Amino acid sequence: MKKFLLAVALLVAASVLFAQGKDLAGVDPTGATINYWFQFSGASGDAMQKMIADFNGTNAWKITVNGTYQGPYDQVYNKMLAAIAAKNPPELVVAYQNQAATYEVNDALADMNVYVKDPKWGLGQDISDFFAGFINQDVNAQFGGKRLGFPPNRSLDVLYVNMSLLKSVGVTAPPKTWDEFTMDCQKVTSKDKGTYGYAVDNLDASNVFAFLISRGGDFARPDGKGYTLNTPVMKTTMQYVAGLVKQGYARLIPKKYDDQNDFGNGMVAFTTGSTSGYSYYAAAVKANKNGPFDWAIAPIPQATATNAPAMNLYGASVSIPKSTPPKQLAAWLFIKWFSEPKQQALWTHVTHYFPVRRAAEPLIRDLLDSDPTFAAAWSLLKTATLKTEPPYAGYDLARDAVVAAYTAVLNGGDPDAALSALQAKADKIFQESAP
Amino acid sequence: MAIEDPMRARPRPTAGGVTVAVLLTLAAFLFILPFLYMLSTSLKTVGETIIRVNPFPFHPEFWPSVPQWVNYATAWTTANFSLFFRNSIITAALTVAGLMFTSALAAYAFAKIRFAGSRLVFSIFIATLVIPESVYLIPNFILITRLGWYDTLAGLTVPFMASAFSIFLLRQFFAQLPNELLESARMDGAGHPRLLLSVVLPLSAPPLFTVAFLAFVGSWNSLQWPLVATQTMRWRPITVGLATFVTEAGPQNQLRMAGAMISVLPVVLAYFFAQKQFTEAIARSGIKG
Repeated sequence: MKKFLLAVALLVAASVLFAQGKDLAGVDPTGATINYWFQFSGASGDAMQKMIADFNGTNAWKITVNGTYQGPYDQVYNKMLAAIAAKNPPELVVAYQNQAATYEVNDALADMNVYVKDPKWGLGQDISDFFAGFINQDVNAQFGGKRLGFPPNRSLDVLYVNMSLLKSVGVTAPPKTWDEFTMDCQKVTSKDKGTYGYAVDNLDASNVFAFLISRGGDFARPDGKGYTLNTPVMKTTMQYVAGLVKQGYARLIPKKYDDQNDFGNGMVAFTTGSTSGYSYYAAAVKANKNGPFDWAIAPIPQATATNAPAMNLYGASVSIPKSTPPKQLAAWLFIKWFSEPKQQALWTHVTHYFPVRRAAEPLIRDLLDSDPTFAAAWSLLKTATLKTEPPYAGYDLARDAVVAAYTAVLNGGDPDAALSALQAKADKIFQESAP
Repeated sequence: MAIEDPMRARPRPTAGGVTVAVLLTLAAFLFILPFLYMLSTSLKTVGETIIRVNPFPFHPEFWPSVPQWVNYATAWTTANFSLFFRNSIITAALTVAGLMFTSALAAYAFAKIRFAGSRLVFSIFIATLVIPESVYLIPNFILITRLGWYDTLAGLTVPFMASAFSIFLLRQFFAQLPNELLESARMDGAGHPRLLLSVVLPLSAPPLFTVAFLAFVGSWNSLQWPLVATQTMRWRPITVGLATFVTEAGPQNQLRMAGAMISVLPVVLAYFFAQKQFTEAIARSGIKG
């Protein structure tokens, strides 16, 4: 019986391998030209263009990648929706997991499992070098386990801490729990000095998610079949921040990035945001009129102190819209090249994004050694319990609804009414956006 | 003894007049404040945009410690502004020309030609004003793609060469022109083209300037459509250049504001030229803000 089962298993494995190989059998990417839409601008955009030029000049198949800035994430998304409707998408596009899901509702994306696992063109043994939390993020249960994207980099939602301000009131370490956070905010808030505890970016639903998971909650139902937003833990999360605002320990930012500016000014002890904002924070601290101050990156405070804090793993992936087999393969080969340790290290040096594989770590050792703050952020990856926001189609709309409910509660609105309306809206979005 | 000319005597200020003048001055100050903020930020260092922030122009921190004129050169070169500026001018000029052409013809037809269903058709035109611009995005994109206009100048301009609002504005003005005037020209043998070109348009400078100005500003400031309708930098406008100064990490506000100063100049100049006609047209059309 055991032999029979073994034989069946081998047969299944062989047929799967054969099928994967067969999918790309005979596909020749030589000479393919692909368009790559991304949101990188400034130094990141320049670095990306240089890397693309490097790939174009060195790849063995004479593949040409035309990388073009298409505006920020929301513009790329809008443009993709139009391009899919017009059946004219690019061959490679930057996309958050939920955005990719929305594209796939229209059957617009290639399943990248085919490429990742292909015996000839795939990752082979290298796949074990990738951080599992990163690489599994793009496998979407809503679409039967299709891989709708691949991570070129990742970041974390973290707590930025003005250590000098904390030390001035006798606090020597970042808060590990929300109780400590409240006390620290209270201590640093001073009308005379113009300092306060926490700058609330209520315009970003990811912050709500980060706070929620720190208390054991989630946006998504455990079965992955909808949202779970009208919950006691969500209410606690929102009411907690509203309480800080009411007491004057926290302030809502008037516009995007004002939290970073208040941090650079030394006015606020804590902000929350992606580690991708690291370089801007560093510049803001450096520009402080009283000279640079001591600052740090720490995990988001938790309900109870833990060595494995729950943290929001961020980061857009790249997706391959359906085109022709050679172009799709060419797009994959560019992604695969970009994920090699050398390219990953180069990209991290410019952007401060985290590389997606372990083999890049020795190549960024200089950065980690010279920059303890970034090194601390990097070390969080190894200890934190990484959580991700729902990869549902239509999640962008649900995020807007979360922001609206959060803002209402922060402005003194009734949390029960806000969360009830939020749940109803999110349910509707989920149903209407489902594949 | 010199006798004061009563016609030249300055009216004695009244309390009400002074109050109105003060309020208007305050309102003017409020309106110019963002412009001053844009100017001051455009001359700061990156550090000053973060730490030297004050909303009041009378405060020293509103202004840079040392004006960084180099920001303008940096913005111009790093964001490829020379190309974007040229593209914006060409795109805006073509859009304005096309819009004037179609709007004048349609407005004349609705105002001065009686034909079956004209009121219904005009009502349908007006009804389209309530459709948000974002709804047009995908249909317009599909259309230009199928016409082969993706990433071309035609794709950027042609979809905006007709506007229900412009037709409405011109039609309201044309309708006020006395029919007797047109009848007398008609008796001299003028047909509709001649009536439009020689009678109606010369008398309609204010609304024409207004339509041109609004179309110019709309084209100049547009960002979403140019990003959607283009793939390469070849025809992208100045707004795309401005958008590149906001990265994921944060904004480079000093360059963003320098770029905004550069980009706003043509709009300000256009307004100075069209100001009188613009105000007159709004007053005559009965539009209220």
